[in-house]
Amino acid sequence: MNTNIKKILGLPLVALLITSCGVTSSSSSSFSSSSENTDYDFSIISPTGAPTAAFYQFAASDDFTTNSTATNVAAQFATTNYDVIVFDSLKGINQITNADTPSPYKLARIITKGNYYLVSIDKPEGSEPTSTDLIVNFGQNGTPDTIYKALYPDLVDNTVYVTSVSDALTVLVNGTYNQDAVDYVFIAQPALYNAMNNTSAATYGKIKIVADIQQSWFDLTGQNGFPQAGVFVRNDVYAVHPIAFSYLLDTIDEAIETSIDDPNTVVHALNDYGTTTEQLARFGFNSTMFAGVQADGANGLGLTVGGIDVNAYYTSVGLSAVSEDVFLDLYL
Amino acid sequence: MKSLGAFWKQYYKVILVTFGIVFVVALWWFLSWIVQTALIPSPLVTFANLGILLSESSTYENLFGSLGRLVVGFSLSFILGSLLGIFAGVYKKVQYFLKPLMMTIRTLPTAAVMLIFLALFRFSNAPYYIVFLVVFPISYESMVTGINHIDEGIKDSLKIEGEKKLKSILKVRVPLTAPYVVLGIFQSLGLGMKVEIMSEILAGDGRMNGIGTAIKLAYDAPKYVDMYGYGILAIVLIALIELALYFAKKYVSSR
Repeated sequence: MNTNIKKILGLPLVALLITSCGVTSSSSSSFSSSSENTDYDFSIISPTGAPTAAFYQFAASDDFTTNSTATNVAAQFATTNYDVIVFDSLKGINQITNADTPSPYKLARIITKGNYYLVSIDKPEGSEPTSTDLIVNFGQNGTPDTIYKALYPDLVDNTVYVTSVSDALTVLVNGTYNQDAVDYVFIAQPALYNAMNNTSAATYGKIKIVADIQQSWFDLTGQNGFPQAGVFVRNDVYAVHPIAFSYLLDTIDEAIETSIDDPNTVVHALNDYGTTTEQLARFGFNSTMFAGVQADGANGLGLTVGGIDVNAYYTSVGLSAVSEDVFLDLYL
Repeated sequence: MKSLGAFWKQYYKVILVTFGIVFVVALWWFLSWIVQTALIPSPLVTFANLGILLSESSTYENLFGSLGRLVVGFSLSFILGSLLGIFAGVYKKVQYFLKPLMMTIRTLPTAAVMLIFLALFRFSNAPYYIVFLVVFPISYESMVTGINHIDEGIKDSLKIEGEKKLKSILKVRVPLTAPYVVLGIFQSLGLGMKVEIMSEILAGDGRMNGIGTAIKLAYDAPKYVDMYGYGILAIVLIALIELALYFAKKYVSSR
């Protein structure tokens, strides 16, 4: 049950060793010295939710930590407890570029490119939010908020914020915020799936998707997604173990591709890991929720293997482009 | 009528506590009826769900997870706090020296310290630190206060024997602090459990078994009825511990 990240990384290592042997003897010897660098136990932390799908093979590993409180993960940028931090890319970059206490990490990948939806509660089909509606959003000044403000600048004044997506889910299933009836909620998957399928929710059967934010963003900017969760890598560890990190990133990429193209493999892995409660505790979703949002290539979690232009996004939302120093040389 | 009076005299505490429980449940039911939200489920629904929770093994894993951490954190802080308290009680200079430290620990905003601990240490270790932070100064103060309040006559007698001798401390001073120490235990156990649950919630580590973890998961799920169920279990657990302590104290006093 307790799988070690190093052991999992050993599989592509063996594959590369075979490939290397088949090329030339010199490449084989050069790999031999490199292989020492692959022998490394990564410590990884991620907030629960969509990004954890990229680490489904590490479910049982003690080196992979998940935490349901985003601020706990954010605080790790100020420490060197973890080699890899998965976090909101905008907030992560802010930690790196902070002039007073720059965090010793670099952005290696964007792994989710958007899983946001604007939904209505108890509204007729085709309703659009107006300036008189009460709208609830989450993650003020983070990526969801920045996107929201760019798409709905006229609604900012009648929008209230809750801390996390869990709090937004609470609002969505109850239909109220501070005892006031809520009209619209900006929320992410898989929380939306959870709310829409919660038969005991006060809003069951009353939730309608008003906008797929990814589509709205594409219509506005022509960009196929935006930088949501990013993988940040610790500089000094990367300097010593570049090949090991390269393998880790390859493993993450493969896991994402599997999550998109073959969700059943992930569903089985989740079920092998433990009960639905244990899955929820570890990932923030269970196999049923995962299957629901990822079925038929829907990729409701918005998983991606890079391919997101961070600076194009920054320009679109009126932020200054970030320096190339923020990105790892393996950034895709 | 006479027998009713005798019955009341004998059992009035139990009767009043029972009515107190009924009052709390009635207040809860009234609140859930007024507010009409899933966030405050009715007692009936909650107690029905509690039956389901009690049939699941994970509930007991969570209960014993929290209880285990509380026992470890509490014992450690109680032993260290008491030892330091004896030392400070006997040597006044130590007491003055430790005053700023104790005042700082006692008044530090627990949630703020918790955030720092969470960033620095393993998430699953945070509850130990927090329980320690809360219980340690109470244990220390209980012991110091107990020693300071020893009757002057006894203190004078001890001067003849050697008031700072280990025998005097262990055989006379420490036993005389018992009422204060027991009061300290009563005060800090409930508080310890509260901060244990709070720290488990803030830690956000889904793999750590505990009542707080279960409450956080139930909130995220969202299964508010489960949240209340675990809340009730925490209350019952502490009530049982306090009841056991009460009878233990009674037994010791009667000997």
